Parts: sequence; structure tokens; C-alpha cells
Amino acid sequence: MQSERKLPLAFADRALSRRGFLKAAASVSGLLPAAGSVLSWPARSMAFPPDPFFENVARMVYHENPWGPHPAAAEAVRTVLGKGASSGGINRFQDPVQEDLKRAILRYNRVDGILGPEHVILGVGSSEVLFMAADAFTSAARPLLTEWITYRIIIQRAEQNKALVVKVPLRPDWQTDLARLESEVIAASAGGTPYGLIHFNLINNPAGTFLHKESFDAFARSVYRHSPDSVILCDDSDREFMEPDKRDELFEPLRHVVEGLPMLHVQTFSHIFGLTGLRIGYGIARRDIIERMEAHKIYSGTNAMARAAALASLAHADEQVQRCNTECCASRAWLYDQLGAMGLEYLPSQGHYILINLGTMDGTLAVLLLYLTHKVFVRWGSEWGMESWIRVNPGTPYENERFITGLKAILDRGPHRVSWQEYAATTEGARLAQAAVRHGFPRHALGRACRSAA
Amino acid sequence: MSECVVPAGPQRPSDADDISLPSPALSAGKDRRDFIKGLGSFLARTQAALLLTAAAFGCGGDHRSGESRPEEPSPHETGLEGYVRLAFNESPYGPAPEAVAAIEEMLSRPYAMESADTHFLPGINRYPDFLNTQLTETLARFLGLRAVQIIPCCGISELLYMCSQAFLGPSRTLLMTEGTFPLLRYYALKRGAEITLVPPGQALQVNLDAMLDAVDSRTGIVYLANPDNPTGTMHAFTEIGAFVEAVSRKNPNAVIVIDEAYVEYATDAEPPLGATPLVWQYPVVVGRTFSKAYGLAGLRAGYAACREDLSEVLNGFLSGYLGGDPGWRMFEGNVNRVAAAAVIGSLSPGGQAFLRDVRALNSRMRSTLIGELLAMGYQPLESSTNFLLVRTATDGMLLRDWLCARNILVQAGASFHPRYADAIRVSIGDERELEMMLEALEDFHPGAHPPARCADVFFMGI
Repeated sequence: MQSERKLPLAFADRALSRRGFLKAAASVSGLLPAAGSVLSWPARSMAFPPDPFFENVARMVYHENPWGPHPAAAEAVRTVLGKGASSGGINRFQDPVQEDLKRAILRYNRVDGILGPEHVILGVGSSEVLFMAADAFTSAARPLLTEWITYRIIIQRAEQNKALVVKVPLRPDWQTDLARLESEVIAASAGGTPYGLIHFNLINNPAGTFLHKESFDAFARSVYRHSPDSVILCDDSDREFMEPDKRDELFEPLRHVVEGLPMLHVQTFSHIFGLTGLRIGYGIARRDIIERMEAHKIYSGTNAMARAAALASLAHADEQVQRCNTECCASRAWLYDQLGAMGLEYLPSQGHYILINLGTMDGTLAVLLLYLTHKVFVRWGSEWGMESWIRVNPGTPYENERFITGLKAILDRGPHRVSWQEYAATTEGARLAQAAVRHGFPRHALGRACRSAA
Repeated sequence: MSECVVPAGPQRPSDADDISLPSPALSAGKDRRDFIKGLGSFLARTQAALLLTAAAFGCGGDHRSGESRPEEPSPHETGLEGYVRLAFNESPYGPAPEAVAAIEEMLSRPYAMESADTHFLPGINRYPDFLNTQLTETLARFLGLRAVQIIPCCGISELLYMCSQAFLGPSRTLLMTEGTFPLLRYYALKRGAEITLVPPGQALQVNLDAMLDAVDSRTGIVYLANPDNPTGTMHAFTEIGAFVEAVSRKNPNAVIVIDEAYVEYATDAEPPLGATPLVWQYPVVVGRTFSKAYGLAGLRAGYAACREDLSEVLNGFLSGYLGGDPGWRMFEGNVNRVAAAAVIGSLSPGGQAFLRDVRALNSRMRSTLIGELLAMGYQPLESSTNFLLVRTATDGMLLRDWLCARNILVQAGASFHPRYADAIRVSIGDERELEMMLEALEDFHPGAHPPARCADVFFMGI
């Protein structure tokens, strides 16, 4: 091992079984995209560039709350910071049980007195909750079923667990295809390989559509009936950003949790509460489901600042939700107007993100140009296989204006009708790639073609 | 002192007859008031907000009875506040002022661009830097390593988890000392790996010879805490180097995980390199944490220093890694923004000066506590850390519960191994905390019965 670099056995095993997994995937379901495209997402995925990359940049890319946390949350962090070293300061480990926070979470979700702290699991962001769910309920023997497009991280974690992942595309109207999902569940169960986990965004990220009360309730009950060992996961990261008159139509997973059904409701403090940098999220489910997830927890990950800020946020939840909902609705509406006036296709969204179709311009190219020319950073749709799309998180009025100004300018000047890969191979494209790298644009994110050009 | 009714002399547990106890080097009977000495210059450097304020601590003299009363809220309702915490080896001196200042700066960042004049850098409402760029580079500079050899983690817990995923499996076993810090063992069990436990050797030191003997072709990880927990013993870094070389000659695929959670207490070297120079050549992962001497336990930050090829493998198992390009971490910030800022502050020259004071004060407190305990008839072991394993003439669990009923938390030796059933593990707190514990110990008598078991307030670790 000293002279020759050798991968440890565990790693080699994994590589082998991943190939095995792909073969299995092809035979089990025709719904899965071709093998090549499954493996190509991660290579095209978006790692975060370092902080200096974002100096004075309109950061409209990662589904973060530009309106910030409630002042009481920041104050709570300062209070912890000011506490004496002997009395609950940051030099002390967190009580991993954190019953006070769990009870506050139950109150916020209006299930206190019905559910108890034993029904709540905390995580380092909802990411860890999603990972624990993937670890607990997916494996080589227990596949993951998910709508697609969707928030992807659970898919990749399930793949790490050697689970087959079956993705059911949204319908042409961008709604979750419940009929197809239901027949998939029934077929898998009848075939003797029931799904371990069935994954949804309550409000689809990135499409912005949502799961409707009646139809999803009927779907879920059919799943419980046909596939009693499956757990349904509803990732509810954006409910608070919905237009107020739509809220009554949204499916409420907690009703099923209260009924004792195998439903896992996942939430986070990263979005409406604006505590993204502190990393705290949670899941609410039946006790046995929580216990199975706890077994996959990394020990004692949630931190003192996050706990204090989360408690303060929940104590002022009404104010915070009201404020950020109003801001988000206004921000979205303004962007719709502008995009409509520009004649661009976009998906009206109930979440804090809007998918925009740039038509003849490549999305990745647009992201680069927007950053380099206007210091606005948004997300490319190629992550979801949508090459001509970008996803933008509505921001402050100033950020929105800068985004729209930038978008108009780059669409005016082009280039159009050329993929980023093709463009990067041209002299001009290579120059752009070099500029991007000089500005600290993450080299790997520019794609393979660009890597050789730059 | 004269009121102490605990008979002197350790009660040797029957299953540990081969263990000879080290004789503590320090003389007994020093005045406890000595604790206060040495605080002066140290506290002068500390922010007023972090001064020890006994008044703010709600348990002086108003002890809970310990009987479980139904109307009494669970201690978890308040996140275990109100206890004298000598169970988790936290630093009673808190973080360096530089760490606090760095957190303040992070908190003061604007949430978004409001106008062209905003000076925007990502603040607490923004995901942490995925790659921990600045943190990694700062740590690499600090230790004289390359950035690719550093992996920042959510405490050592996450690192041990990653190691268990990467280097253990049904065909790759874990080798460790019996009764040492148990977290990796716990992850190994979950991974389905076989575990070989080697009893400690002379003076409860990790038995390097026996460990080497036990290495075979199936060994995936050799785990070593240096200094060791809960014994507080340590091996010189040169001995560790020789051990590592011998292990990797015997099985070049075995990864040696050296847990240096307490290394800052154990060496005067600046920076405390410990075993990190080994990572240039050998398959070594050195684990470090900011939870102990750096006083940042509440923030969750640690890191690994390791050989470059191991870091590539480990990064693939970072709790949120999404596959694809090797070396890219995709978890939305395993180290949160506040922790990252605090770590960078802690590694500044001022932060290191603070660490020096912490180390000096800890040694002083440790010597004094050893003296006090000896005078009371207890048998504290020599320690290179901020805790003592204290052998007693009674059952450690009983003593732990008895102290817990008085709102004082220590660990029972039996939580680590039956060999230490007669022991408690006590963190070197500040003078007020230690005084409270010693006073409570003075009240203890062999026939004492704790009114309730307090096991539910203890968590693993630590």
C-alpha cells in the first residue's frame, strides 16, 4: 500500500455491485433511463463553489431564504455564544435527546398532545433525515420508488445502498403521475420485491407543483393496502411558501402519521426559517419507523446553535412564516410578470423556485454567462436532464432585477442553438471557460468538454 | 478531608488481577484553594461573556432529591442544563475569544443583496461551503499537510462512521483495545464487521505488542486512541510511529485509525502534530476534534488528517456523498457555518495562545485534583488528558448515580468495561465544579444508596 495505490476492499466491492445493480435495474423496470444517464448525473451535479466565489453575487441557486431568519433566531445564537462556559455554552455537548425542541416541533405542526417526542427524529439538515430513511428502508433487496424530476439526494443515497431506483416521470402537466406510481407499487409487490421507500416532494422541487389532498390520500391508502411494508416519504420543505389560497388543497402527511400509517413527514429549518447554515431538520413518523432510522444516525450531529435558533424560530413561527410567505409570493409574482413579458416559458410554482425554459439557449451556458457578466448565480436544468432550462430561487427586489436584466442581456447576445459541450470546443467557448475558471467557477462543474478546453 | 469515610486503597477487580496500577506521581493533600491560582492571567484573556458565573448556574445548594417525581420535567426538556458536567470531557474554559469573534462575524453577514452597495458573503441563512474550502486550507497550513489530506467532519463521530463504512465489512475486521472509546465499535457492529478486542497492558496502557500480534490479513482497521479514553494513558509519538510501521509491514491494507481527541492536552508541541506526520507515508487516519481543548463541543467540528489515497476513499463515504467525481463532497455542509468560522478563529495565533493557557490550566487542575483524590483515599490514574479514571473502593456505577442525584455528572468505568467497575471517570472541570464534586464525594459513604438511577442523562461518549 505504500508504493502502489490500492483501493481498500470495501471500495472495490462497491464498484462491482454497482455494475450488478445496473443490470438488475434494466431487467426489472423499463421506467429507468438508460444506464449511461443514471451514472452521468453525479458527474454533472452541482458541488458548491467556495464562499469567495459568492462575494457580492446574487445567490439565487440553492433554495436558501434570502429574507433571513427571524431576528429572535440570530439573537438566540448570540445568547448561546454569551453563555458562561459552565452553563450551557458552546463548549458543551448537546443533549442528543432534545425533548424541548421535539415538543416545539410537534406544536408547530399542530400534533402536540397527539404525537410525542418519540415520533420525532432530528438531523443535520433534512439531508441527514433523508439519508437515514434511505439507509433504513432501501437496500439491494428493497428498491426506492420516486417521482422524477425531484430533489435528488435520496436517490443517490439509495444507490449507495445498492438499491434499485425506479423513477416515474411527472405527467406532461408536471403533476406527479400517481396512476403510474400506483401500478408500479402493485406490480412490484405482486412480483415479490416490494418497494422499501416511496419518495415524494410535497411541493415538487424543481417543478413547483404539489400533491393534492384527495388524490394523494387515495394513492397512499392504496399503497398501504398493496404494499404494507413500504414507507411513504413526503419531503415537506416548502409548504410555507405556498400561495395562501392553495394551502387547503395540499395533502397533509401528518394526518396519516397520526393514524399510525407508514408515512414519514420530513421537514427542515433551512427554508422558511432561514437556518440553512446551521444545519437542522427533522422527520415525524410512527415510533417504529423513527427507531429504524435512529439506528442509522451519525452520533450527536445537531449543534447547540441550531437548537437554540430552531427553538427561537418556532416561538416566532407565525411572524416568520407570514413575513417570508408575503415576500416570496411577491417575488414570484414579479418574476412571472417579467418572464411572461419576455415570452419565456416558466412553471408557476408553489415552492421557492421557478423553472424557466430558455428555448434556444443552453441552460449551462446561461448559468455561466449570468455569473460572469452579471454576478447572478442560478442552477442549470441539466441536473434534471432539462438542458434548455434553469432554476431560479426568487430573491430580494434588487436580486430579481439584476437577474432579469442579466437574463435579457445574455438572451439578446447569445449564443443560441449550441450545447455547452459544443460551444466549449470553440475558441470563443474555450475563452469563456477559461474566464469562468479564473473567476473561481468550479472546474469540474463545467463538464468534461470544458475541462479539456480550459 | 477528615470527614472522608471512604477507606483508602483501591479495590482490585477480580477480572483485572493482571493489571498493575500506576502510582500517581503527585503528592496528596494540597489545599483545594490552589485551584484558584493560575486562573488570573487566563481569565483576563477571556471575554467577559465567557467568565465563569456561578450565579448563572442554577444548582448550587439546591440539589434535586433525585427521586423521580412525576411532576418534575425530564432533564431532557431543558437540554440537560443545570448539571455539573464532569462526564463528557468538555472544556470548562469555553472557546477562544478569536473563535467567538469569528462566529460574531458570521452572524453579522447580510442575508442577501439588497442593493449594489451590499457587501455580500454567505451568512447563516446560506448552505455551508460544500468543500469546506477555507477550513480545509487553514487546517492543512496549520499541520503542514496538503489540503487533500484533510477532511473536515461533523465531529469525530462522523469520521469514525466514515471509516467504518470505508474500511470495515463482513470480510474486514476491526482491531481495538478492550474498553476503549466505544463509538467505532458501535459503528462496526452496524457494519457487520468482526471485532477483535485486545486487553490493555502494563499500567492500563494500550498494548501495542499484543495489538500487532493480533493484526492479520483480514484486519480492516486498527483503532487506537492516543491518549486513550477512559484510561488517560498514552504512548510517545515515536512508539506510535514504530507501531504503525510494523502494522503496515504485516498487513499493508490495514488502515490505522489514531483517535487524537485529547492530543492538545498531551503535548506542548506547537502545532500539536501528534501522529499527523505519519500520514505522508503510512495508511493512517488521524482523527481530531474541536470538542475538547478548543471548547467547541456544542458546534460539532472535527477533522481527519490522512494519506491522500485514503482521503479519496473516505470522501466517498462522507455522510452525504452523492457519488460521481471522486473527492467531491455533496452533503449540504457536514460542518455548519458557525462551526467552520469558530474553527478558523481557534487556529489563529490568538486562538493558539488561548489553547496554551487551557493546557497549562488543565495540567494544574489535574495535579491538584489528583492530590485531593489521593488524600480522600481514591486512586486516580496518571493522565495525559482532561479527565481522570479514578478507582474507588466501591462500585463506580453506584458512585456515579449517587453523584448524579446531586446534579453532578461523571461516567462510570463500567460503561466502558467491567474491568473498570470500581472506577469513575471524571473530567477536569474548573475549580468550582471540582470543588462541588469533591464536597459531594466527602458526603459519600459505603452504605449510601442513590435514590434513583440516573442512566438516562448519560450519553455515549465522550
